[in-house]
Amino acid sequence: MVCGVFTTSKVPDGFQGAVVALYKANDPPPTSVTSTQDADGTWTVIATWPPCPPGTVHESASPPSPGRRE
Amino acid sequence: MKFPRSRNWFEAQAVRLAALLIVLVFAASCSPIRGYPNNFQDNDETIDRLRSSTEITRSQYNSTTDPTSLKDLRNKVIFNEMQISEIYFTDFQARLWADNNLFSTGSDLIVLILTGLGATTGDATTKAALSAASAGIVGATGAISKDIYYQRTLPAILAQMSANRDKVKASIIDNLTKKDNSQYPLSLAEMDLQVLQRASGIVDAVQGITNSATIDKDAAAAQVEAARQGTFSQSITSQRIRAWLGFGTDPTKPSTLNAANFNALQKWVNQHLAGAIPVASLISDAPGVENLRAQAIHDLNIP
Repeated sequence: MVCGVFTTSKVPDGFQGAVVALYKANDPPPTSVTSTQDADGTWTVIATWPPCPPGTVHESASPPSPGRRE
Repeated sequence: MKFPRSRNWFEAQAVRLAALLIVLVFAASCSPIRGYPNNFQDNDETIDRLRSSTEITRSQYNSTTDPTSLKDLRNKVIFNEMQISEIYFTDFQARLWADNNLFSTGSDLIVLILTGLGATTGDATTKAALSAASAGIVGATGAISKDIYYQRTLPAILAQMSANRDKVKASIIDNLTKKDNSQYPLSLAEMDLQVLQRASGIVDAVQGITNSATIDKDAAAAQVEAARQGTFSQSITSQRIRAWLGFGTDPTKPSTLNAANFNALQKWVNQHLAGAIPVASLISDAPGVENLRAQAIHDLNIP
């Protein structure tokens, strides 16, 4: 079961929508997907699922930065 | 003068018949389920011969100082003892396998026989006795069935035992071949034989299997952690998967997610990665993901 935060960065401008669509289509779907455009014009897409239960895999330490809410 | 046979006589005969059938069924069922062919040698005789040879060689070892002789004698002692160990191990494996199978195959037939006799023979007391015996065996097989985990894991345990032994044997043989007596004296080699003895047990086998499972689990956890942060992959495999999912390589062209292909890939992720990473992570360049993509492309025949 997916849990925690997954990030895809350096997404070219034209593929940002595709990456977001892939995250959203996941089963189970994420609780949120945010996109942030970086200075170089690429995007960072962050998908968040409920936190991982203790003792499984570790959740990414970096919280999702504020950005465009998809 | 003939006396009419009493009812008790017939009941006693029925019980004797049941006992005989039990013996016959067990006798018939033991042989084919042993799992190992008959030994080509007499184990007891071989062990006696090896022990005798070992003692003679050991006394020769203790009374010589010639380095070449010491090495030869040491090796002879250890190879004899390894052969004895091998005989005991094969017997141990065979008994483990036979104990595992004996009741589960033989008892089914006994239950049928006792149930049948209970239904057709004697008075209420005899029927009750036969049915009770049948129920007892059903209960016993039930208990064994509860031990189904043991039955299912036995092949893995046997395989792990052999692997553990092979590892220790390889180390001993390597030392015997390469090292002279001053580097690897008989006392040290015999300590390694004790390690070989421990490696032959169920405890070490289960521990080995558990360790392997833990390593696999840790590797899977590391894979998930690595997949958490990745950059968008431009590799050929990533392009193929994106195109298959409905997203072409040209970002200026409109695209729509191919739901059927996505579902197939989702199912693959669930099967191979326990669904622990999102499908979207498969188009990132996080460590290890390239191999996952290649595997998915192969498994799903992605063009």
